[in-house]
Amino acid sequence: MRLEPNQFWSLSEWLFREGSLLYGAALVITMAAFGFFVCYVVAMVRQGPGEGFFSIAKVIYDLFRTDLPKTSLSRIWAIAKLAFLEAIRRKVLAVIGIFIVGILFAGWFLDKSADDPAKLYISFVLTATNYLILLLGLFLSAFSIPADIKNRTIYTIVTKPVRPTEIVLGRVVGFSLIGSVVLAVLGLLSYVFVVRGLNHSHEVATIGSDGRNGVTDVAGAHSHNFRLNEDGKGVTDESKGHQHTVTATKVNGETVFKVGPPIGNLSARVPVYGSLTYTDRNGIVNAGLNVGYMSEYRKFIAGGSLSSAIWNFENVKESDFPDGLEIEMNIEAFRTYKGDIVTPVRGTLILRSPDETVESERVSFLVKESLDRKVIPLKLSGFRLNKPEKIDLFKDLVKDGRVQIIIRCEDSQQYLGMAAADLSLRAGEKTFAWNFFKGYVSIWLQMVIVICFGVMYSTFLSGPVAMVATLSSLVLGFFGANIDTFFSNQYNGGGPVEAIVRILTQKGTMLDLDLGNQALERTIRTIDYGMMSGVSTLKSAVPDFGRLGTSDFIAYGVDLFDGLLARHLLIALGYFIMTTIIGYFFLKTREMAA
Amino acid sequence: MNTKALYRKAAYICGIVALLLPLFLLGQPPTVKSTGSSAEPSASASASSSGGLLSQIRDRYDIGQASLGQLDPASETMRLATLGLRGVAATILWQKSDYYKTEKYYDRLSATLNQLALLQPHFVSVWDSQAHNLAYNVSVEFDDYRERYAWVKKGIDYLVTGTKFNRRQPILQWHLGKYMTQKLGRSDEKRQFRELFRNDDEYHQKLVGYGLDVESADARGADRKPDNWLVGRLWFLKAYDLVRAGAYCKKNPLYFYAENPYALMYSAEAMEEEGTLDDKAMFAWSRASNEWDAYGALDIMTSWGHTVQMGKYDVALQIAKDANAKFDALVGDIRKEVIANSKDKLTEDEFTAVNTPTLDRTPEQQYLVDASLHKYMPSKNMLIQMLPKEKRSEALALASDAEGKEEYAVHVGKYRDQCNYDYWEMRGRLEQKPVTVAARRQMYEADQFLAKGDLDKSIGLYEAAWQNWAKVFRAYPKMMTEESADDVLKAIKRYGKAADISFEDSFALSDFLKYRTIRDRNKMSEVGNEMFETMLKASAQYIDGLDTAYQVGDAVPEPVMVQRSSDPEEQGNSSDKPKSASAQTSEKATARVIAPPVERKPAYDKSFENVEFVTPDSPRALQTQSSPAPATESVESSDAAMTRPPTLVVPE
Repeated sequence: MRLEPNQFWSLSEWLFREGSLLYGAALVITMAAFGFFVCYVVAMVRQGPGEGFFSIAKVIYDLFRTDLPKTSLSRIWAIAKLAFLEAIRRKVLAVIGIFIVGILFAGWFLDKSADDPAKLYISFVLTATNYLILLLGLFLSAFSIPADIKNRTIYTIVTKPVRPTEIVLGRVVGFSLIGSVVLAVLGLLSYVFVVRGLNHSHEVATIGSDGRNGVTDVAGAHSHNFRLNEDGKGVTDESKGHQHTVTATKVNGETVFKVGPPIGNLSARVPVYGSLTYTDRNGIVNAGLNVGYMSEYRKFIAGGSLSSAIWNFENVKESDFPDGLEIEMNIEAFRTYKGDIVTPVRGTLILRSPDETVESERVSFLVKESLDRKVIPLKLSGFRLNKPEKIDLFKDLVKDGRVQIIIRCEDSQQYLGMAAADLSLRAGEKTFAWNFFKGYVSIWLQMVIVICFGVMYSTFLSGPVAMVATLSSLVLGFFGANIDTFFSNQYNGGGPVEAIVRILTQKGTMLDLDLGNQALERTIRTIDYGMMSGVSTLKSAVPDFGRLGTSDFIAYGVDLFDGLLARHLLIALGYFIMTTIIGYFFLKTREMAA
Repeated sequence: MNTKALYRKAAYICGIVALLLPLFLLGQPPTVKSTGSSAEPSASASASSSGGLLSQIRDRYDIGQASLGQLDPASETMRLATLGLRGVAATILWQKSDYYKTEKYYDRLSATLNQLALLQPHFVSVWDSQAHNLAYNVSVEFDDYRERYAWVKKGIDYLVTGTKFNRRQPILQWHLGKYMTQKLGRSDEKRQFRELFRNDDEYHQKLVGYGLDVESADARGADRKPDNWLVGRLWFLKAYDLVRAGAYCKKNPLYFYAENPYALMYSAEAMEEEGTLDDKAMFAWSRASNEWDAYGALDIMTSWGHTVQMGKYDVALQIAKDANAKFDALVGDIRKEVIANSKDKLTEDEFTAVNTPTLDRTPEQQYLVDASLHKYMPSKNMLIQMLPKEKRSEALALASDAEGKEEYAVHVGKYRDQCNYDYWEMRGRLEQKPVTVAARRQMYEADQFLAKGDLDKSIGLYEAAWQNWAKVFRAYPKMMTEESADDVLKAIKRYGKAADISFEDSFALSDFLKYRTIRDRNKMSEVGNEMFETMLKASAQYIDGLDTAYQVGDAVPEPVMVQRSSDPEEQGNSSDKPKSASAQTSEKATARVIAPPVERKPAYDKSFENVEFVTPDSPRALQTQSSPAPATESVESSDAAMTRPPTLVVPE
């Protein structure tokens, strides 16, 4: 699983240490100033400078003087109920039918023989639900107010003592409510689909002559080896991301084996992540090595030297690790020569106190390139100021909740690759169902944002245009990050105009444009730059849906950080307030025009 | 107003119907199954029964959905669900798959590739390149060879799915054969891959499900378990069956059909490498050799528009020779006269160059010889012009016939070169001989004893192996330059270290060592080439001796040295010995004139020119303390080299 260091931040770190609160405040002020300026220009053109200013000031005054303080929850609720019923009349529940059809046929596409089918199943249901719900929110929100205006039913509302804030909020709440109901049903169906889809049972196929070693039969394209202890109990090896318990009991003199249900494929580990630094061959801090891969996610350390990967952990509490420090790691090996093909590359793990005075004995390991677990006992051998002695994990190594973990590569001329999220401490486990629920909360937040945008656009655009505008925001939110590659000069082939010219002139993206006219080429590039800058500016105003997605956490069995979810909640709240205010102004302006 | 609207609507309807008509004619599906063969639609099938134009074209070229391969509901659903944006969806999936590969999300890559292929199930390149991606590019990213093996299998499974959607694409089956043979059998981890494969019962069952009879004797190796080379061969045979059934394959037939015998040869080779060195190995090689002969008897279509049979090269040469003889008979003595009279046409330099033996010519002289060829060697056209008029047309026909046949023989030769036909033919014949198998077994066992530290047994076995290898190299000198010979060289090195000896002329493989030393330094070495030619000429007499192998404890035979035509000892009675190829060439070149005596150093003087003489500080020296070699030795001291054979070393 890929995690960026910024995802580890707690809510307070994100708000205060990383300056998000300050940035948000600056954004509010800038947008307010910009909004005021644009509205004033429009009002000035319509009514002249003095009158225009007055009308704008009046709208703002109304908002704070009457509309906002006198907004009634009961009226919002009444409108929300109407929106809810309207949505039901528009047959939105058909989405559930579509989803059921989708998961009925999903078995055709999901590969049970994959290394970890749970990942595929969970990713599938979360992605399918995400797209369906976002589309639902889009269609619901974009057409409602324009349809009311077109049918003139809006007059039956605005002639009553209902404020624009209540109309906007009522719609948002109503649509969110129906969306939540649909999402809850989809979530329930998904959970059942995942649990049932991954559930399977094995029988014992062969048992060794000692009656303790055996192999299960093949089910779900895999089988397991197991070994029983003297009491006739055992656990199978891990295959396809899970294990089973095996018990042998004597019934009428015959041994009967029972293989339990899968364990570990639906998990929610609670990891503690640390920050990572690398050192070079001489032990001096550097940025890590690139061994030639295009991906920059992992950096590498050289083998047979002091080159190390050093994780600095904080908040390591003794209460979370009563039986020792459980380390989970997924380290990659890179060989510059094949060497001994059968034996994996070797690494060393060392624990060190933050003041670097005490360190543990080296723990050698063979690189697995998949999840590998090591448990560091509470009492262990180590060194204090380079002198060997018995040390205590939490008294000597962990200081104020901080500890360092160092990884080195033992084999000369071979390399080990890692990113910050590739080594974590396992501080217990939460239930999969709860984590699954949190994943759906994340989807719910995205839905609410889309509804907010849809309602906002629908206050001043006609239905189809509002839908296209919301869809554009959605696309920009999902794929907007690609625009950054244009500006970082990593993108071959130029912007939209250059791309069209290349298609017409049959020039691949790796070739120079070479139109034989430098002025023309410059013009094309300038237009592209202008267009892309415009889109980039728009992008920064819409939420980054790619970052709001949390399905990886659920799929990879990692407990979704509460801090991250809270952060997403705040972001959604920010967009909710922003779109409500903009929607209010537009609706108010329409009223004035009417 | 209403009437106007009615007219307008009627006009729209007429327009729609008018547009529908051609659509109907083009796209009407067949209502009755065409009675004609797919390639040639029956003339009796009426237009209505065979459908519209598009349907007929589909039928004619066998490109209807059902003809291409399996109809998969999942695939059809996906294609329909994209609402005509299949291309866009495919492009997005390609980009996604590329991203997943770059960022190493391999499970997702695999899932995306499945979706991608279902979107374009009849696009053969997708299956082909992405299967390769999985089996070759993704698999090597894992450090654990078992994980690599699993990804090779994923690539194979992916391609198998492709064959179901494209049942008339033999290239897919052929590639499956390549993955299963080459990827599993020739990678660095081939030993581990082959071991995993032969014990992968679960996968064997899967292969049975794919329609491969992996349980049959044809697919089992020496240990009676499925062998990757032999199972892969079954895919090749499936591809050949498809082509025989009329499917088109754009692969060059030379390479397309070579894989079947290659698989058998490599299977036999792997079997020997893994220690099966008995009758089973001999049988495996004999089977491979027979298959190679069958390959040689195939009519291979060439780029010149005619077919060749590579196994009939000698016949083609003989036919060309006979045709030339007929022409020569008609021309009579005219050629000799022209050659005799052409002396005056050569410049002094050209004359000297022509009369210098081939091996002694400088590059400039060789250029002069080639450039002046037309002056002293008349062309067929020249000779025809000199014939009486009544004979010219017959001569022209004979000349044209001879040239055509010569050209054909050249084409056969070129195709043989491309697939290394000579080598594999020789290898197949040689490896089934008791001597070769014994040599390999002794070398293998010697290695085993050496690993255990039993030096006496190891050395005894090595020495027996050298006797057998000496027989092999004498009978088939070309083997000295091949991969097997590299293994022998390495083994000699191990033997040298174990026995702590230096190699002298009495060593059974001294000729081999000398030759390899020269050749490994310079492949174009004339001395090396002459040595090789000499051995080649003498080789025929040793072939019969390959049926009896030398065993440990047998009496050591007298060393057989290469008979060099220019050995100083043989200068006096060289007429009794077979002449070297170069000697023959120079004889030909000087046939017309009495060549002035050319002072020429004996070739033997140069034969050790490139041999590395042992020096006390040479890191590669394998010698005992009791036989120190001179510190330096040079070509100038060739006389000394003649009297005191140099100590040989194993080339790196």
